[in-house]
Amino acid sequence: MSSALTSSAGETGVPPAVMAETAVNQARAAEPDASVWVSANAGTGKTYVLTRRVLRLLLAGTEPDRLLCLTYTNAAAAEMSRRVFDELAKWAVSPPDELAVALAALEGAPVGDDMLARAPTLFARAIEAPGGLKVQTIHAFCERLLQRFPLEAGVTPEFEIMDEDTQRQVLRQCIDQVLDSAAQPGDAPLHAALKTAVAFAADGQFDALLDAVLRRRDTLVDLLQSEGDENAEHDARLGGIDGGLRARLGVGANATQVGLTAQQADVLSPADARRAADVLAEGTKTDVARGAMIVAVSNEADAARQVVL
Amino acid sequence: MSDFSPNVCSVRAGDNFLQTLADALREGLLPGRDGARAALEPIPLAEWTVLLPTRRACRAFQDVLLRGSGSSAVLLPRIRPLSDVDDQSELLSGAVSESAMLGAYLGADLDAGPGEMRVPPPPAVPDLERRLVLMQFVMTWLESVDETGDVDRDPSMSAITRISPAQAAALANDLARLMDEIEIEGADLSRLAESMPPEFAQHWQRTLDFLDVATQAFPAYLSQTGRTTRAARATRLLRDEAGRISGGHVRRRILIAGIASLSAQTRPLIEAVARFENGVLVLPGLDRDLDDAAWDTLGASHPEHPQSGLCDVLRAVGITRTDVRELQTPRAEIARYDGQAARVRLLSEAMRPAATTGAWQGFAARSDRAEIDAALSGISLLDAPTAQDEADAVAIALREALETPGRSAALVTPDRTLARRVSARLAAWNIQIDDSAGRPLLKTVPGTFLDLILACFDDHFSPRTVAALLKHPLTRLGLSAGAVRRAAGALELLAFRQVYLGSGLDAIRASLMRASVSPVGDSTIVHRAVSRLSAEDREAASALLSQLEVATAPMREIEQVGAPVPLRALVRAHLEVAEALSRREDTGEAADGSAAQDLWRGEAGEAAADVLAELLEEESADLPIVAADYAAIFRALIGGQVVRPRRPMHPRLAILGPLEARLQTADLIVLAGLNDGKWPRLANPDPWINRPMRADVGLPAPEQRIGMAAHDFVQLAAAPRVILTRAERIDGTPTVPSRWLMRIEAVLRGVDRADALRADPAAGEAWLAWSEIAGRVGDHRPISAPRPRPPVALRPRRMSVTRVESWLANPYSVYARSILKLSPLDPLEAPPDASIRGRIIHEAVHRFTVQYPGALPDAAADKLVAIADEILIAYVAHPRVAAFWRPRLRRFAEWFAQTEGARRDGVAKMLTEVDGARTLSAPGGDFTLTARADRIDASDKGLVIYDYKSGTAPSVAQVTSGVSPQLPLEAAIAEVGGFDGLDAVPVQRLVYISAGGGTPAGEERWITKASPAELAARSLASLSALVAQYDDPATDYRAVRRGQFAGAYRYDDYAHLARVAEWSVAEGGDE
Repeated sequence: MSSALTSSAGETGVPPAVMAETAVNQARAAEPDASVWVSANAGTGKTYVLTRRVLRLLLAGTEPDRLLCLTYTNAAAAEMSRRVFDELAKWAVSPPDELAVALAALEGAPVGDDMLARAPTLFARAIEAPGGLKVQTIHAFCERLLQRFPLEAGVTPEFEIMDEDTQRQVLRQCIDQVLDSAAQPGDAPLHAALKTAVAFAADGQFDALLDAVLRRRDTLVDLLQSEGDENAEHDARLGGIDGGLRARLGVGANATQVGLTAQQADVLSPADARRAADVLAEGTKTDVARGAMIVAVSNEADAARQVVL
Repeated sequence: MSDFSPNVCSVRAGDNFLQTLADALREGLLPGRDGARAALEPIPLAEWTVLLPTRRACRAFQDVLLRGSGSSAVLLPRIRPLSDVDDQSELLSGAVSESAMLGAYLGADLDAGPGEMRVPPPPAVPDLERRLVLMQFVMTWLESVDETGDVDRDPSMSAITRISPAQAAALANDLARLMDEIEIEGADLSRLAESMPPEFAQHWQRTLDFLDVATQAFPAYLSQTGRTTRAARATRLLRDEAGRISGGHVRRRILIAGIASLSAQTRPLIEAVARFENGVLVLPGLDRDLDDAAWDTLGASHPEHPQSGLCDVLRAVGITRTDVRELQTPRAEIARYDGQAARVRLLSEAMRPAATTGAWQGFAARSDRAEIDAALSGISLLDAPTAQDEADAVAIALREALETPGRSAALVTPDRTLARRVSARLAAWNIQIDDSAGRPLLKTVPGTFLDLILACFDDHFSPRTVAALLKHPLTRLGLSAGAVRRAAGALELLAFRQVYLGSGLDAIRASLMRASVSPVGDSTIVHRAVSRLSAEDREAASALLSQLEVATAPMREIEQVGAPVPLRALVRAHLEVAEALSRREDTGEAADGSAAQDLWRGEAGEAAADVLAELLEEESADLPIVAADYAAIFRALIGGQVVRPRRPMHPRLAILGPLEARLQTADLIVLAGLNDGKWPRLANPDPWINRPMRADVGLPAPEQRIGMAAHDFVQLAAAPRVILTRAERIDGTPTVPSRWLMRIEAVLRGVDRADALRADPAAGEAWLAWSEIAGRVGDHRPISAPRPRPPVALRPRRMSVTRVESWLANPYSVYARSILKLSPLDPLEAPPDASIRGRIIHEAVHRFTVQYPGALPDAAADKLVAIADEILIAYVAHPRVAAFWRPRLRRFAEWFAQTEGARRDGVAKMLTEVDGARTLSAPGGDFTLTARADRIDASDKGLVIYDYKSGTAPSVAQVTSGVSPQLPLEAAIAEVGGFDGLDAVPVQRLVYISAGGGTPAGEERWITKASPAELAARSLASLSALVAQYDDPATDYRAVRRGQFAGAYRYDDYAHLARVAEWSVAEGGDE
């Protein structure tokens, strides 16, 4: 098949057996009846597989406006549209015999007359699909969804997406507002929280910290809600987070830092550690430094062990 | 009803439509019924009424007629716009309101039927009033949702009910648009409830409730006030007129020309005129190449096809394509270009209805390649890499067209940014050409002025907005242009270019008062630009601020009330503020309010005046709103206003939107911005009704607009010389070509002419290359790092120990600061920064030590905090100072109180902020090293020199290696008794105290690697060598970046001046 629709993996110096297996896998992944999860390295033909899938769906008679292809970047969306339209455009004007060959290659078997008749019209039908052939980024899709259902989503019709600059400005304003009330002396939890935070982060660091927290706010909210009763006191809910973290890290509820240090130290017996240090002391400059470190750690571990005992 | 067949003809695509129409009218060439001439003698123009789709087309047609009549006087026909169903729909209503009745409007006033009493339709509600009233209804609806408790049941509703009045204004705009569309298309929203699928009934009920505003509440309001909407009035007038024509009550000749689609509103009139014995329909570019089978699929199943609208018209009139005659004039025949028929045929083929594109295979197989080449001879496609390249290339193509005398050219694009870019490009060649599609009012000079006033209130008179307002060309505040600019400059320097606290005009006043007094007591911080201001300048700044206070008083008073006031009151206040701000100096001549002239001058000024006047007169402007919402409401209400230039600015060039371009032509047509989603524009999802529901209530598919755009595109693309352009990337994002381009390219690929459309640089189509040449810079040689060598006499003979550090790190900074005497201005509205924090800490510890020199007092930490608070109070208005600085200071104070006892142990004498100096002899004369030590403790063991650091203290290694020689140099001064009040005593220890207040809250860092005496000797030797080196006139103060000083460059005030970014890359950073 002299088609421009080829996987970019085809040009690499990959052994034929691997190529053959890839081709089989790609064909399986493009099977329109199957739900498929494809994970592959960059440049190994994911877009190729997706394109083939779209083409086969269209060929099988799916209305173009019933397809939704989501990508993560605009560049990927544009590339995929381009490939789909490129191939469809070729079908639209190919002589029937060439078309039959191309379709058979795509489907893995000779195709019937219905497909042969449908294929040339798919280009224009995809182009004129109501709302366009939907190959778009997930962001664009979500934005459109919100525009379609503003009342349901609780957003203003004709809303606009904030650019990053405005986002930063608004975030800073919000932080300043919260700081304003947090700075009021008293026993409000917010004030206590600020006192804790300020020892670790202030000014720019604080903004960076909050930015990091906000990026994971869903996780944190989940943690707060799953580990503590929603109406529980602030501290109880924070305790919940502590419990969650311990469970996640596999650390007992009563474990302390000192205890954990001792536990870690027991991985090697003190004698083994000394022996290792001695061996390293004979070695290169780096080895000597590492040996010294082992000695230091063992000493600390000894101290810890004594505390535990 | 007459029984003859409709008289319909068409002007070929690619012919000049308006010219052909004018010639046909003038020369009596309009075909009559059954192929006969309408008359042997031309009918006098004045007997005709000509209806054209847009106002712009009317103007252009009038120009064509006048041009053709030469110098002789001529009575023109009545030319009236009959709008299409699109954004320009107000054109129709606007025209209708010119006269009370369309009968008079059509010129049928002579022959009203006997005994026929025609009741004029009620007057139309003004657009602004409609939006205001709808806005009130929307807000009422939202409140009612609140009360019904819907919110409790459905959390998503809570966001909706929080919608501000400004957002309600946007919703009202949407509703108004929908109502117009429903009226124009004759749809019926009441059918919505029936078509609702039951499973979604509850969900859609909310939408239905909301649409009640449009279907119930607003119509009720209209009937109460005895009025109707503009669209409904137009429907009524057109229907009445259609009835009068059909009833035989009209004798004038009526011509409807250029209509390419049909709506429920225009249908009766078009039908009536087509059947009227004195009526003619002239269609634009009816497609005669498309096969009948494909033609028959047009209409509802292919609304996106360029000919679907025309197909609807023919069906409505009850004829087929063969009944339509071609309008031929001798001029049109002469003007036709070779390959026109082929081009039209190719375009028709490319646009063929999707379902019939199976025919492309056959077309590819049998088409004549020579004919294809002929079709492509005058059309080319330019794929520019970026949007800017596209604009540059288009500008060059337009410029090239001007080289041929008499040649005209037009850029047609739906992309206003592109239009602006091209217009700016052409302006560089002194070709003034405005975008005829207009500018949003808010982007014009008076628009930005009105908007800036609101912005000042929006962000509480923040320095950057106030500075922008004061520098706006319309701002005069009763001063001459020069005086107001000068006073604004002084105010900016005094009040805005320093640490800025608080908000509002009071904060500006406070900042102005503070301008020369530093709360830290250090007056050396004042910038030279500030200290240079004359007393008059300072007075002028203060007076300007007073003027601003007075001018803005009307709006501030309302703001202070806080309670809702009628919209009208806010508009009036806005107007008063604007006029006070733009008041010119009193020249004693005109006392008649001509002062505000500037603001309301010009097309934009008049438009702004109109809209404000309308708002003031509006009864519905009694709507109560709070001041804080006004800005957004104002923007929502006038945001859609577009100011269009009244007359084309250039005789031969034009920049048009696709609508303005309808029926127009030029020798060269550039169709730009041909990307997917841009042209045709993707139909926006309708927030109220979905696609099936649209069909149910009788609204056309959203694709109908695409079909109309496609018709415009095809007509323009059939012009003799056409350039199609697009950008492959816009803002770095790859684009997809417009669907029409893809169609044309697909068809061309089938006939082995895949790349034939591309612009051929070899054939004089090198616009891209030319624009590249125009923008090319000669060989680019990056500059090298500056190496100034000022005369030795100008080089500093005195320097502080801290400056010595920057001298080592970057000699250029010494040159810029001490020789050029440059220092940077603070940014507008600077927040309190690290250097202020450092000064506060120093000052607090200093005062504490002075106050409690001996044994530490009880609660020493509290006392230190109290002292710090005295200084901080000036800054505490800043949220970050309160939130971060105070708690951190507290933490440091506790650490300090804990550790201070040990430091004072055995100390006989403590000095803080103590000045010292030591003179070195050097080749160029004596050199004085100065220092202000943070603290020196004297005991019988010697001196301990401390330095407090609010940030990171230098490491021991940095001090020992000479990178940070501050403390060693202070030791060198101390050991010869250079500090005030101290004898020559050996230095025992050098200590940095970190006072960050983080974790740890404080820390002592002893410099112990070498003895202070040794460090002092070394640093002094290095300094002597450095001074000696710079006493050599050949030594330059070069700008450098040295690895070991990396930290010092973060705050390099002169990096830009030294153009570091340019040469540091080339030189690889290091020396």
